[in-house]
Order: sequence, then C-alpha cells, then structure tokens
Amino acid sequence: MLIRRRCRADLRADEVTPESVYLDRRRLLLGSLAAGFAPAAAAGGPGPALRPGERLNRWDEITGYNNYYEYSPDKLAVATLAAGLRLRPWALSLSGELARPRTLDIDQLLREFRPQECIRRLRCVEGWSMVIPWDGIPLSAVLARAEPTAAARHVQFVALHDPQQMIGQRRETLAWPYVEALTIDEAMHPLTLLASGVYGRPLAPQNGAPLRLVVPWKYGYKSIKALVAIRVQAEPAHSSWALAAPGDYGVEGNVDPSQPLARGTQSRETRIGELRKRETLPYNGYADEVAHLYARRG
Amino acid sequence: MSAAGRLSRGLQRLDRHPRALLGLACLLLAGPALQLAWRGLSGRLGVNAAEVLVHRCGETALDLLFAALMVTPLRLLLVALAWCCGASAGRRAADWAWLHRLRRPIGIACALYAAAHVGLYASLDLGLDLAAFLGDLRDKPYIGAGAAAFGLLLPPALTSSDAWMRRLKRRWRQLHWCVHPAALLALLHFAWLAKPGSPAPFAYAGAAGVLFGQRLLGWYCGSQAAARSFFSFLSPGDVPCPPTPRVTPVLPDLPAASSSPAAPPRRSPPSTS
Repeated sequence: MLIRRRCRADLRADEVTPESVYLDRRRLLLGSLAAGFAPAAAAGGPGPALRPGERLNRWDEITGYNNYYEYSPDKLAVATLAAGLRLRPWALSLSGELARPRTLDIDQLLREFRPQECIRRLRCVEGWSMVIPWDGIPLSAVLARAEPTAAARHVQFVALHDPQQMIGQRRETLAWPYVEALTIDEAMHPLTLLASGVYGRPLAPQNGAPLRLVVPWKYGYKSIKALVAIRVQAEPAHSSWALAAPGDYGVEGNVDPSQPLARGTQSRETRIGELRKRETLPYNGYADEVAHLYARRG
Repeated sequence: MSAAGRLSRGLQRLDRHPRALLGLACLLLAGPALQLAWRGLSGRLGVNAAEVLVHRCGETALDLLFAALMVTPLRLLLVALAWCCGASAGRRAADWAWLHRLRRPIGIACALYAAAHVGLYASLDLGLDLAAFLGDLRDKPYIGAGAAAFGLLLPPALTSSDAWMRRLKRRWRQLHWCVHPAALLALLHFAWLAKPGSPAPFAYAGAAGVLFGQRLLGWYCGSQAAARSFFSFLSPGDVPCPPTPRVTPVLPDLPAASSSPAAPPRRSPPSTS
C-alpha cells in the first residue's frame, strides 16, 4: 500500500481545520488544563487562552492586512508585493554578550526548537488588533541555549535589508534595516516568541516569513519581521520607529490605553472582524503576566 | 467645424436639459454610496470594514468639496481651451453656465458624505460616547481640524436652497464663502492622519494649490480678469484670452439665461467664489 505523506507546507486552505472547530478544541483542552494546572499553563506552556467573546482571526484576515514598510505603507498592497520573497537559505545570527554565539540555519533552528501553537493578541499602534494562533518558539529557549553573559542587559533585533526584494526599502521612509529593541528581561519572558508559522502553516511573507518576533504586550511595531540577527548587548538597543519619530513612538512600546502615542489616543481598538471598537487593555490584556517587569518604576 | 468645436457645442446642449443634467449628476454623486452599500451587503468591505466605511465616506466628501471648488477654475480653463483650439463655441464663460448648475448638487452630496463620515465615526469608533470624543479631541489634532471643517460645512449645506438664498440676500455669499476654510481644514485633517510615506495628501495639496492660487490671484489683482487670465498661457500668440464682450462683470454671478435662451430663468445659485 502506498502511503503518501505530505509535509506541512503542502496543506491546502480547505484542508485546514475551520477556525470554529479549531477554537473549540483549544477551549476544551485549555479548559481542562486550567482546571488542574492553571499556574503551569500561565507560566510556560502555550500561553493564556482566549478570553470569552474573542475568536481567532481568520487566515485571510491575518494575511490580507499587514503593516510592512519594507514593502509599502499600504496594508492591502503588502501581501502582493511580498509574495516573491526568497525564504531559503535563511540564517539567524546570535551574537554579542553570549557565551556561545552562533549562526543558525532556519531549518536547523526549527528542528532544534520545535515550534508550538501559541495564541497571542496583536495590537497595532494604528488602533486595530487581531488574535493569532502562532507557531512559535519561546525566545527565552533560544537565548538560554546561547548562554547570555552577566553583562547582557539589552537585545537588539535586526531585520533583512534587501532593497532588491523589498521595494519599500528603496525609499528612506525609515532608516533601513528595520531594528527593534527589548531588554533582556522582556526577551526572556515566556510570552515572547520567535514565530515561524500561523495555523500550523509556515508564515506568509507578508506576516514576516520565515521568522519573526512576537511580543504580544507591546505595540505591533515591536514585533519585528524577517528577522536575521539578534545581538545581546550591555548598552540600550535601537528601535526604528523611535529613531524615525521620537515624539510619536517609544522605544518601550508597551500597550497603554492611558498614554496617547503615534499621534492619537490608544484607548480603543478595532478588533479585526468587528465593527465597533473595544476598549484597549493595559499591556494588551497581559498585565497579569508582565506588569511585574515594570513594577519597580511604580 | 473642428472636433473641439463640435465637442464644445455638444456639451452646451446639456444646458437645455437641466433636469436630465441634474438626474445624471445625482446618479454619479450617489455612486460611492451605492458601491459601499453593495460591498457591505455582499460582505466585501474588506478586513477592516469599519475603517473602510469611515474612510471612504470621508474621502468622497473631500473629493466632492474640491470638485465644487473646481467649478469656476474649470470654467475658465474651458474658455481658455476653446480659444486655444480655435473652437467656434465655448469661448465665453457663459457657454459653460451648465457647469455651474452642478455646484449645488455636488455641495449637498459633499455635506451628506461628510455627515455619514462623522456619523460612522461617532457610532463605530466613539460608541456615541462624548467623553471618548473629548479624549480624541485632546489627543488627536486631526480630529479638531475635521470637526472644524464639518462645522463650517454645515451652514452652507443647510442654507443651499433658493428660499434661503432670497432670505439671506448678500449674507448668503458671505456664509457660503465658509467652504474655503472648510476645504483647507479638511485637507489638513486628511494630511494629518495619513500614514507617513503615503502620497495622497500631496495630490490633494497640489489641487488645493491650483484652486486657491486662482482665487488668490483674482483677489490680489483686484479683478476677475486677472483670475480669468490664470489660464492665458494656453492661448496662442497675442490673442487676448479670454476677451469679455458678453460676459457680465462679475463672472460667477452669470445668470444662466444670458447664455442660452432655452434655459429656465435663475436656476443656478449665485457663486461663492
């Protein structure tokens, strides 16, 4: 008998579990988990479940509405412009204050750290949000294996710079390459992911393929796409939007409904798929998990 | 007769059918609303439907505001073009009086789209919460510009009828002059909220440059003749462009009757420009 096995990339759209079924399964699993192991689930596992009244955003919503200035400021144009991005070979370099700096091939990385499904909310500074089932690796696991030294305080993330492929980089809308910054505590937080897929499928180029950062309690501009380098360092790192418009964007970029940012109030957001806006929650609803990181400042 | 002459003569026939012209204009002006309704009913408003609804209404209102302001310069441009092409028809501003007739429907449609824009913003974005509006007013400067533009747009829209025109007499023109600051504020509102790197605000700013340049020139030279010769670069050689034998002294006040005897008397409102 011939048993034909297909890899994940061969999945067609109609073969993927409908979101409603997918959601019910997760609820069931997480519900039973939460009954017995609530602290464990919050600390390490796939992360917090959906709140009541939330649904996962559909694949077409996630892949059809993208902020990606490397291609265009037009969110609807990005998917088309990004379609041809070469995803292999792709290397991620880990350097700086590490006992074991290394350069990892993307496939080697995905074999070494198996990506898990992790549901995270994504809140854009423009005032919209989505709930996305990422396939991700906790960044802490990757960094821990590279053994940060005692001097490690900040982490600098660098995205691909290739104007040949990314036509938006031919204009100086931002100082390319796109860079982002986290403190070492933020980078080691279990909510922080290196995502390689959505809905069990490899990331689409417009979502930041083949590897992107996901920092769910910060505005979307912190979640850098097409990641090629992570540098751990003692001095503070740079953030592209904070460099371009220091008055409008913060390096920290925590979701804070009480603080206007990027020329506007951040108190409300449109959840993609809904007509009316909802209230934005402090730390994008992850206050229980991350507020302690910023507690000392009062 | 040249092709340009035939074209301009054909266009002037529009003046004899004011009702058909009005019907056609209403159909065209309702187009964006009908398209939005169709997309909404068939579920094709895109990923962020609320944003599409609010933005499309606002953009259409801005387009129509500029279109209304474009009527007078366009008329002058057409006169200059008719001279430039040597067309036998269309050499007088009066020949293009039918263009002026379109200005009231355009203005009313603009106010309706602006009202839809504001209403959708208030219901979908603010949730009809006054405190949220005050917060937006404080945190987003473009909200203030947009609110001021809408406030300036309302009185001219509400007093657009013939009855109000009679009642307000000279004040009517002063009141309707408000559309000029409203257009600048609407442009500011749009440019302020546009994403960094998007080209649309520059296009609108270019259009505003032409529209307000024509008016400023007229104001600075103290006569409509200077504004009229705004497009004189189109005329060949030393032909004075356009001459003014049968044009009434104040150009935009042209009664439709002077251009075509078949036209019903006094249907076009006095101009605000």
